[in-house]
Amino acid sequence: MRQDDVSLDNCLKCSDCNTVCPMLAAHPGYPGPKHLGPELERLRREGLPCDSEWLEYCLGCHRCDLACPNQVNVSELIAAAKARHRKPFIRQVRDFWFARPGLLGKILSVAPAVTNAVLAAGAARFGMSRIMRITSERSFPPYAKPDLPSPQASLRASERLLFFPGCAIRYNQPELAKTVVALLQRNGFAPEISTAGCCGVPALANGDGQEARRRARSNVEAMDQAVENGATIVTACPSCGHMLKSGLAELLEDDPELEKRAKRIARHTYDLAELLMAQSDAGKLNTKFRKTDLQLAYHAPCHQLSQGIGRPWYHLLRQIPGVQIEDLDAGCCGMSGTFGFKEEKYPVSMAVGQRLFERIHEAAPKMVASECATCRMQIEHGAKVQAIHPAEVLLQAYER
Amino acid sequence: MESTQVVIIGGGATGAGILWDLSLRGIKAVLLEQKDLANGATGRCHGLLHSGGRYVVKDIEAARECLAENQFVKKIAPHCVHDVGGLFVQYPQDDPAFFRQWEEAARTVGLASQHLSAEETLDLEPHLPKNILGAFTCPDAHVDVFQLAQSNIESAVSRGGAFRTYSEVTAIGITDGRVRSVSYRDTRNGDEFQIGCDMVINASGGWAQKVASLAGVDVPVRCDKGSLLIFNHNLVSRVVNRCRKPGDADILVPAGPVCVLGTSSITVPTPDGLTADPDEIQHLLGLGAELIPVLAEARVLRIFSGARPLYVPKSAGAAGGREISRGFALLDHETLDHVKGFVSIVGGKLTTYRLMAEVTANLVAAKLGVNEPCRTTETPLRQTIDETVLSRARKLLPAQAASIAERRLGPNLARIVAAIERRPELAEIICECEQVTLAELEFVLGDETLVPIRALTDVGRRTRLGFGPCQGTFCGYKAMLAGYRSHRWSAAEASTEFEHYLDARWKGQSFVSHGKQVEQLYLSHDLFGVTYNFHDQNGQ
Ligand SMILES: Cc1cc2nc3c(=O)[nH]c(=O)nc-3n(C[C@H](O)[C@H](O)[C@H](O)COP(=O)(O)OP(=O)(O)OC[C@H]3O[C@@H](n4cnc5c(N)ncnc54)[C@H](O)[C@@H]3O)c2cc1C
Repeated sequence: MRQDDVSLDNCLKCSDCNTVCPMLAAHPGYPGPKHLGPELERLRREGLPCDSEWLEYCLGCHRCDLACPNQVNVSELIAAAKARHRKPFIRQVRDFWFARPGLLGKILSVAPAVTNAVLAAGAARFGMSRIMRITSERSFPPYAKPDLPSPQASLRASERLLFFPGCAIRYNQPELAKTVVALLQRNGFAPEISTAGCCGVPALANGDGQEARRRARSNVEAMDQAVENGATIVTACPSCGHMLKSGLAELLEDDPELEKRAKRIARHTYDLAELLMAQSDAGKLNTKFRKTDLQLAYHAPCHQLSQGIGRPWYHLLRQIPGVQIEDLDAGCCGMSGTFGFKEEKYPVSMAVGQRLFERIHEAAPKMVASECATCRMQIEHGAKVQAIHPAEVLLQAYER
Repeated sequence: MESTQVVIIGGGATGAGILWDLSLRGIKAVLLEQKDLANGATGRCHGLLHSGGRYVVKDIEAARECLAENQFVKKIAPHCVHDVGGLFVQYPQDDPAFFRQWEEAARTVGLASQHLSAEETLDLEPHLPKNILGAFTCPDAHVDVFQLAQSNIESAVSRGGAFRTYSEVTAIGITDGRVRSVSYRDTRNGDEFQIGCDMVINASGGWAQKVASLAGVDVPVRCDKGSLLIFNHNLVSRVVNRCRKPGDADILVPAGPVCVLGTSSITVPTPDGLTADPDEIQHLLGLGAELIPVLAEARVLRIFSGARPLYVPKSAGAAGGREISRGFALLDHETLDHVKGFVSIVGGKLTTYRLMAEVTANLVAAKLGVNEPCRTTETPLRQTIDETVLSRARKLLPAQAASIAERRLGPNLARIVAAIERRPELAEIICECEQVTLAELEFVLGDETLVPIRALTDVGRRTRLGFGPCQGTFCGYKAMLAGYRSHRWSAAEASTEFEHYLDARWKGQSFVSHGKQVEQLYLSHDLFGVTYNFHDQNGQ
């Protein structure tokens, strides 16, 4: 946050942000985004003590930003306050690791079989819950060797594309990277896989502003050259996409040169479905679909909405003959990345998701499609329905 | 007829200070104020507790006075002071000869000051323009004017002093060349009263001439209008003065959550019904942006004007506002005009209010034959708060609200804490911008406070409720309801109170011609004018 940021002055106290906050709806004690953002920042600039444990409860969904009629950087103000917030030691240690899924992934994917066995063991989970305050209610996503497809630059490329996989795909679901690459190839692209690391969203969400800025800087450096050479960046994780599109530049505001490069990256970043939808609009989408009888429900992740690109996956999946898809439109799932894993936050995470779980039961789909890895975790855990990335549905629908 | 020893006319800092000083000496006094406390210049000033830096070059005596009083006020009323320090910033467009004069004069006066390089200054205040040359530090501070007036009154009341608000003095009874009584009218219900007394002190600031005329005496006071702009949040963390010959819009004071820019200097015929005109506002904003460039895009909450009461002895001639001394004068009308028992204290500054009270009380005590010395330099205005109360407050309220309540309420915090412990729903924050709890609101509306309110508009001066960005749009209504629920006002009265409240809040905003405050004002107009059918005097 720049020192001369005066966006807090824009707040008219109208509470539009509060009306869309999923945490406020689920937790009556939560003071809401208006208070935690612009209101506290104003008092902080007076020099008053303004720390609040409630800052840890912000899900980072950015719905407040979308609702604000007056361009207040609500969630950015909250994130800055979160980064200054002081936590008890155990939560500090836990959140240090939660802030670094890249580092964690590197270590845990060395011997995935061992990792997965330990992460599933009851005794280990009991200890983690007691000591590290990580809930034993949930299962961890399994880890895998980061076995990503190698760059495929030699194909007859129509455009140069760089796929930014993000940690969940790299370390937990590397087969999804193959799906994405295949899907792009089916549509005439020749994607390469970026070596850039964690996007920084988990760091920001866990109140580690410094790590988030480190991630932002390193990612700008990793992708800047390619973008300057005309490459387009594609994400399949909406949180990574959100970060590349607006978070990077915000984090690097203090360095005008880096900020400029971050903005260039932002201009060249597309969500996978956004890109395919653009192809579709231009009549260039490969539509050689088989008839696929499938009853689906679609959940739009918050960070998909915050990108302001509509719901491209929903519209893409509807083009597959035989697919019946219902847009659940039931708000935030409550998982918010690592948030739902925190022992003390688990109940409220589930409470936030309740509305979505109920909608899923009403819709009774065979599967739920959603492009966010942690939304899928929450849906499988809370609604007991299989959840998949919509890219998989689309790829499977193509004729062999 | 009620009677007392002394009647004080005027509930500004000076009158309040006199009531406290007299009460400490055991002299019975009643203070009469035509509206609410701090209704005059006191409530319409910068709240800069001058270190003397502004006057060192031109008026070394005034500077010395300020410096001494600055230290006394910080000592006796720390809860009213934000001891933020100040800077005299050297701008490249200003006269370098003045910088040298300033440094020298500051040394002569004994003003603790240090010169900072441009980098050091920008480090402290990043909003200053990048081309500044450096700055001198000084012990300037901000003083919460409402707290200060209220604290003096509160302490005085606890020592037997009395005060009445909305009590306009209409006549001063004189027989055989001696003051005998004062008549006043309750401006809220029109009732007339009279108090018998031995002495009358005219501490009515810009109204001093008018009040003195009630005793058939002429007190030449010139009203010098100054307008101030309040910005939504602190853009500087210390007082920023422009190091040059004092002029318009060359001070920015961080005043609690907001900051205040001023001022102008225009002679006006009366302190009543002052308004800022658009040219004046543009003029202030233009100069303000020279001081701190971000002021050009920062949000202005409201604009208001006050009148400096400048004493113009007949010999002073036709000098303009800033050329007349900011010093004060104590006029003994017994020797000057053969009216026994009548004194006026005029001119001066907020910063010197205590000294003005001291010299006035010295004279009055001598005339009454009371042999008690002044004790206001060493007697704290407020008792310290019990540690256990503080820790209970911190458990009940969020950090910032506890810290605000502690500063504002002092020992009264114990009542608020006990009330919330009994009824946890009282912890609700009613005014979000300024973090005022329902418990505090109920306390201010109730009978236990020593400084009760009479109108809804008084609540802000006690608590800052409605002083933040929304300017009462969301809390004013709730405060009115609280007044109704606590049986202070009937439904009809509450609704009238609220209409007056809206008018007062709307007025200060209506002069802001640009930016977010205009939208805020329209939100309030639409909500209460169009939707709730509260009347709309401004017709906007
Ligand atoms: C724009 C501006 C900025 C200023 N900035 C500063 C500053 O930063 N620092 C500083 O030290 N000084 C400052 N001053 C000067 C300072 O505000 C005044 O000198 C000081 O507040 C005067 O206090 P007072 O009590 O004498 O007068 P007032 O506060 O004016 O009090 C007089 C009171 O008498 C009441 N009254 C009048 N007639 C009657 C009647 N008939 N019956 C009953 N009551 C009556 C009025 O309602 C009023 O409340 C500033 C002044 C202005 C105008």
